Amino acid sequence: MAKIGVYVCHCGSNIGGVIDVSDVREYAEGLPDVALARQDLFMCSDSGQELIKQDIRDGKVDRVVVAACTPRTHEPIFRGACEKGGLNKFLFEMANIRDQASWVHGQDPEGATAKAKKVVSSAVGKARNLEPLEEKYVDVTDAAMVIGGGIGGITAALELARMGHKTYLVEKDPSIGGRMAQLDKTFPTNDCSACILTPMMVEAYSHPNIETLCYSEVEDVEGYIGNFKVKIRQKQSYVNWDKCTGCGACAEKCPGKAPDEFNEGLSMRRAAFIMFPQAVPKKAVIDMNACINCAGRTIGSEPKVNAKTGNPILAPCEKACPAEAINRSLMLDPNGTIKEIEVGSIITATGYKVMGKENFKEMAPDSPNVITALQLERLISATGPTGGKLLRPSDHEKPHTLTFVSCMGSRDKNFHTYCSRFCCMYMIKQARLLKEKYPDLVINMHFIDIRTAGKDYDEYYTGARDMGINFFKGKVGGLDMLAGDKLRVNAYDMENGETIEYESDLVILASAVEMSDGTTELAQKMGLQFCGSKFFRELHPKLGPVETAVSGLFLAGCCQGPKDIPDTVSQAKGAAAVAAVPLAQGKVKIDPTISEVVTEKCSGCGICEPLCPYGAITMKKVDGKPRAMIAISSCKGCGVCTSACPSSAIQLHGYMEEQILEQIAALTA
Amino acid sequence: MEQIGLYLGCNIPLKHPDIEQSFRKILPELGVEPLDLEGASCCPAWGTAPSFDLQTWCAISSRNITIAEQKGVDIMTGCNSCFGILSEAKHFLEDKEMKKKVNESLSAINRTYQGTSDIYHIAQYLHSKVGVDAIKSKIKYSLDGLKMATQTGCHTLWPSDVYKIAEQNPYEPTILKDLCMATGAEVPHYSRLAACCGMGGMRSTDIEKSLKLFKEKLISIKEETDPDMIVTTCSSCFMQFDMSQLILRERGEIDFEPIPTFYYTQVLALAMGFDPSQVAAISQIDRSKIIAEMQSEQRLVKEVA
Repeated sequence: MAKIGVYVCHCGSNIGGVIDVSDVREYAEGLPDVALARQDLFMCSDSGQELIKQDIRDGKVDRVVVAACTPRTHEPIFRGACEKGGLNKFLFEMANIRDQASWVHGQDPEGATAKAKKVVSSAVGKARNLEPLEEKYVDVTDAAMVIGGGIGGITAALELARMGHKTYLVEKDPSIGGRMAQLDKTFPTNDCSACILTPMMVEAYSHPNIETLCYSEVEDVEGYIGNFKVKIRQKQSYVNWDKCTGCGACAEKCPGKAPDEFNEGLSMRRAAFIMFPQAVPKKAVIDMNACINCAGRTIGSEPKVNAKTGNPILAPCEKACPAEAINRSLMLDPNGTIKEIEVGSIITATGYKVMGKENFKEMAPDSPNVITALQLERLISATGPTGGKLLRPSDHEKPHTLTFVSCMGSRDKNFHTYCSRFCCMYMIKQARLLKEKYPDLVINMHFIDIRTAGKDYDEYYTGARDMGINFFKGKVGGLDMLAGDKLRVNAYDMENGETIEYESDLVILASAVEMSDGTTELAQKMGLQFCGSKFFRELHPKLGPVETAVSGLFLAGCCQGPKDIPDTVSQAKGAAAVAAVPLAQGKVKIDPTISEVVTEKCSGCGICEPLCPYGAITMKKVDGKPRAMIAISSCKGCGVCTSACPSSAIQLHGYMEEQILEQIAALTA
Repeated sequence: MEQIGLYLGCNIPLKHPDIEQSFRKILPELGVEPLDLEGASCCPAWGTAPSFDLQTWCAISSRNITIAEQKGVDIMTGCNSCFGILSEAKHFLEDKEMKKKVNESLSAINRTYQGTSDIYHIAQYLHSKVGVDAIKSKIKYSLDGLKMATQTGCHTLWPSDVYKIAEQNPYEPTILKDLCMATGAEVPHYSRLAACCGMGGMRSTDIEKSLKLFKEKLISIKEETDPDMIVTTCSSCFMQFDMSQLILRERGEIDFEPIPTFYYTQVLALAMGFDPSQVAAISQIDRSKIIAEMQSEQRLVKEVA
């Protein structure tokens, strides 16, 4: 017979403020196989844990139930206490009477207490049937992968590399650098973005421990912490990067055109192009969607021959390349190539995009003089389409009045309820840079309110006020297009309680930050979850900000939520530190709460095999008959096979049939 | 011939029966047979039931809609308020609870709301069902060279997600523009296109505020486009433009002559050659000169052999 100890936690007033803890404790005492029941203000405190350890040491209990908060955060703590007391840590069960009773039934203390009793009784029912389980260890591949080559990914990769771990840095664009490479200067110190980023790009690219895979995307991820197998698609660049010197001669001669993504569509680039002047690696690619196949040179075709000279007629890009890196006669696979790598941990740093102006119909999106803040960033950048001169897109004239509109799509229930967090600061930065350069400019900034929390940030904002930049509290209701490509701004000035109207030459929308394109597919490949705001969900909002529900998978930067460069760098360094843990240890624990086939019961029907989301089940011959086998390293313990097996031949350790049935019996008693 | 339930509302048949006449003249010519919805009541107008009780609003609107449902036709109205009221009621009636409650009320008069009839504004109907090309083919007097300023009116623009047909961008509406251009006229953009005309509740409660908004809009029209006429598809906007320009002129707040204002189907009926004394007879602003211009002999479209 089991000797169960039940420990009911007050959790300060979290539980005790609603639930009658003594009543629950008394009730628990009367449950079958319960040897003792205790209560404590904070079970997770040292003294609370000591209670458990001492009872185990005294031989009073051999099963432990803690009725407290969520196992997500606290199960490992109490399991640890059991282990230290000398009990197998899987002889522990948690009853979550905080989330499931006191928090959700705060208005009904009696009902909450009654429900807490049920939850405790269910946990006790399970505990009676618990069995000891043993953890296993597997070796780790000492390598990491970082997805996304922006400032977050570069920082994380460099940290891992400096710790001595081989790191693959995967970037979908032809160059690393990300959004930060597009920025002109950075707040709150106004240092040039490229000047602080480019050296890091170069260091990452040339670091002996980093292998940078640009123009590449993650195709598939298999495996588990310590042993991920990753397929990476290296997109077809149509340029031999081993030979390409980045001279740009192909781009100069190429007649094919497409909107320049790096310049946010404000200018055109060629079909053959180098992403931006400071690109790392500085390699050309040919965008086949924009390529016009000059001289009939479709990829893989034989060149026509000049009747007079007898020479082959080549496309301008081929002819221009001094390094012979472009050869359109080669039958290059448009799907590129697949590279397979093995890594022990993965950091996702896929960044963000900003909403386009077409989303905001009241903001005259058809006017060329309404732009996003990221477009303005290109417009004031020395490497941008105007060479850093502030010129209106409509007529390339210098504007006189500028309008900034904050919270476009952020803090708006029609789009996103969250704050995009760094817009206030970058708008102020842009305004300050422009006012410094063009003191005559009239700059009007419209905010719901100004959020400049951060080291040296508020000083940066008040400084902007002193510079003569105009700040209005209140929303912009809409823009009207006027003759001469001007815009009428219709706004509300909350401080004076009146509507204001004026004419503006250029309107900048600080549009909301959103997850990058393609992240949904990436999430599916890796098992990442999204939070309510459609960013990747971290393991715990406070205590696990870089971890995810998938062990071995970590997050850095805006893919976890909007954040500025300092925060991204901090998080990236944090992610690198935790991602290095399994690599440094060289082995990882395998959780024993996984499924196992009772071969004698298995009929070999094979139903389970395709159902397993992790590909952990294979059918193997046992005495000439097919039987299901589960790879312990791949099984995640989801239980799909267990519930689907018609012969009840698959058991999920920690969730055995008799354990579950007792729980149900207790809950329905 | 395509049949459609014609929901008249109150302003058009009572204050501007010539607008109603223009509907009845043009529709059969364009292959549409308007069916009268006998026994139709107030929609109920903004400021009445919609201001105090959602369920009452839905009950009255649904009763009106059931008249069309019984005839197996959709509803078309020329009044933006009626259009907004009936469309929004239909939206609220998508809620099963609301539908159930309303049908309990309707059972007292042996009616059941099904939700089978769609609600169209006549401008939307002409634009999407009849089509600009069909309209062009019926033009007798080309309005080529005339300049029109359009006024769509708010209740066909917002809330766009409850309407059967919505503008792609309600802040830059194009349906009325397309319809006007079908007569051959020019329709230049003006910056306060989507601005309020000041009609409705504001006109009844604070006429000065209403006139202030109206004046801003009118000046934008005059200064930016200087049109030969203003064309609207909202009967309320029509009244505001027809009444209030004269007030501003009398007060000396505008220094130009009031701009003749038409409901769109009046313009179309005139272009199709109908008698102005039937289709465009009632207005405070004198429209005789522009009507004569619209139906002048040199504008006659030559029959193509």
